[in-house]
Amino acid sequence: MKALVAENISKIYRKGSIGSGSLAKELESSIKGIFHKKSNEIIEKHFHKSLDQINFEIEDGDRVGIIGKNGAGKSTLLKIISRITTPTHGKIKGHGRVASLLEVGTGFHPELTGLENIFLNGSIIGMKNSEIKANLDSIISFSGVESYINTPVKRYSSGMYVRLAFSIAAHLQSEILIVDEVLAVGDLEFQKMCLDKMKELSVSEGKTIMFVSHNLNSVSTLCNNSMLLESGKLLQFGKTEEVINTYIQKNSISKPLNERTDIRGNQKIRLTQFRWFNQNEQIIVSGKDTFLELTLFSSLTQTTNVDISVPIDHQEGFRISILNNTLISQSCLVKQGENIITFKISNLPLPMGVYPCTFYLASSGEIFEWIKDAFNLEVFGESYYPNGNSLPKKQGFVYLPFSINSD
Amino acid sequence: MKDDWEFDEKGNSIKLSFKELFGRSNLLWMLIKRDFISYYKQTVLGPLWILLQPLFSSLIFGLVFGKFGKFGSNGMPISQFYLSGFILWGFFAECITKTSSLFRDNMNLFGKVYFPRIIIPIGIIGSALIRLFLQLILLMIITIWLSFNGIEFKWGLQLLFLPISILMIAMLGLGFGLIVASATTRYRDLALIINFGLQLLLFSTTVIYPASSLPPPYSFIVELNPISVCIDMFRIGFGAPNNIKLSSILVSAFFLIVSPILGYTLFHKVEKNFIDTI
Repeated sequence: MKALVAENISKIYRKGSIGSGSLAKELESSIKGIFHKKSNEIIEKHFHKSLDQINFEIEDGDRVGIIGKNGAGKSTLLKIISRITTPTHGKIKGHGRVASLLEVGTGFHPELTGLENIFLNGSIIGMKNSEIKANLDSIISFSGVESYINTPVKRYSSGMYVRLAFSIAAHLQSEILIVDEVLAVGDLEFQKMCLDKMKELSVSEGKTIMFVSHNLNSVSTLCNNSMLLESGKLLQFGKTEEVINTYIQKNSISKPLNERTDIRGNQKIRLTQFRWFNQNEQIIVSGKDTFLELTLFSSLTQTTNVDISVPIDHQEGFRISILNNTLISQSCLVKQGENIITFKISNLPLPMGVYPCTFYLASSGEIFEWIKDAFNLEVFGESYYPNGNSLPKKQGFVYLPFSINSD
Repeated sequence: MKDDWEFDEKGNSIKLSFKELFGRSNLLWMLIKRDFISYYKQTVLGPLWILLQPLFSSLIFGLVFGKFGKFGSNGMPISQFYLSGFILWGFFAECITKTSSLFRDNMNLFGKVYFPRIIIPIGIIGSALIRLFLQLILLMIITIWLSFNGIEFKWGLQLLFLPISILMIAMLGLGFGLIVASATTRYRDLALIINFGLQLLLFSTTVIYPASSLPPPYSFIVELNPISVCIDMFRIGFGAPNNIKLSSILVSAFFLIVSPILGYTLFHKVEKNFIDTI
């Protein structure tokens, strides 16, 4: 049985301001609209296709991840499925109740207590009073805020707020659950709890789940199928593993190396391939030993004393560090034909994010290849410290290995 | 399968919206409750404000127009005349101001979760009705107190005018509120007009003086105003003489039918994707 079927969904937004403000302009544009049929050019200029003819079918009990860059249309798709806005064209069919958790604590009123908000939020997301009462104990204990349940939620920490909100949503007896990066909030332990709960719901109750996240790690743990969106188009829909691979391939490089025109150097030795991986996986996570495998092709017989550098930049533009063989006094030798060189970074100390990497290859003053921002290192998840905690937001851009010795 | 659903660019059908609405009565109740609890939290006088607002307005306007201005009170005691006027006017003003800003006030809610949107304006009318009911009790107490002081009050069929006039003014408040709410998603100017427009409108109704106290062309305008008709009917319930003209009744009947229908139609058109434009 299909839980959800999308037929040819498009969503078109008008660029610029809507309702130009002055009545005269409004009239002008509506008169223009009558006399001139909209040409494609005008549509291109004034409208933006946020979603472009999306088709998919989701089976009952599927856990579907939606991945894609910012602006790919993920949120728009979720908004349409959860009926917050209508598609410009196309149709959505489904069966069963849809519960969407696009935000934590939608409709929570700061002045009301946790308990009052359970009833309020529960009824907003579509629970019946009897349902809320029957699940009340379970909701409270899962949220872990028992002792504050009669306190107004304005005094809650953001973590407590999220826990309570998720707990309510998880108890909604819906057939389809839609979640949008809510899990980005809350600590790692709670995130894991949510993922487990969602998986449990899906497996034991046959709940269909759609999950949007930038954290590929979470997507790959939770979802059996995934869809990849790129500028409003559905690029791929299939097994999560395959979709994630495509996404990483597409993302790790801004432009294919052989299409680049800004490469400096005589290219007697060239970079043909590169690959970031850890323990046979392509999902890079901070804290794990991470490898960069470079494939070089040389047209020279043999080159000694090569200097291979991979500077790693922060997205904000400054250089974080550099991988370089001469730095650790390791001499490298490049034979004729194909060579594979692998760098290893122990316990990758970089938090989640995208890091542009430059490639530089030279030997005794002769530059073979110098490619600025040749490829990216994309870190998809964090587990640097053994307890799984991540760096607090805005508290730095690198992990330091440290320990504490008291006495 | 019974839970099958389907929707496209047209959004929900009107039939479906109402079907869903009946399944969500607990949400309606929760919204009214939230409105009440949150409104009076951290105020010293709490719900007492519900009674103080019309009392103070009646006192000031009663003094200025009734006592100093000698506009008369259509044969009713001044206190009863002004309080009845302001109770109903306050109800109408609350319905229309809150309804007209409902898209802005609930943007966050509408942007994150789906429920039949019409619940929000119905909830607004609902909580305004509760306040009106409490104020009505106050008015009753005053009426009974007056009857002990020699001003006779007849319990009879004319009391039926109370629920009828309340229903009428609720429909007008909802209708005009929805029209303005739908229009403000495109033209914000209307939101600004509402407050100031209501102040002006107050002076063209019989809230603060009986129509009979004005010279002919002006009294005619005030009489035709559907709000005046509602307020005069409300006062008949409290024993005021029935001098509503047929022309006034026809005019208000017209607004009574047109405004809720137009309001709901516009609202239905806007609700499905206003979130993209606001």
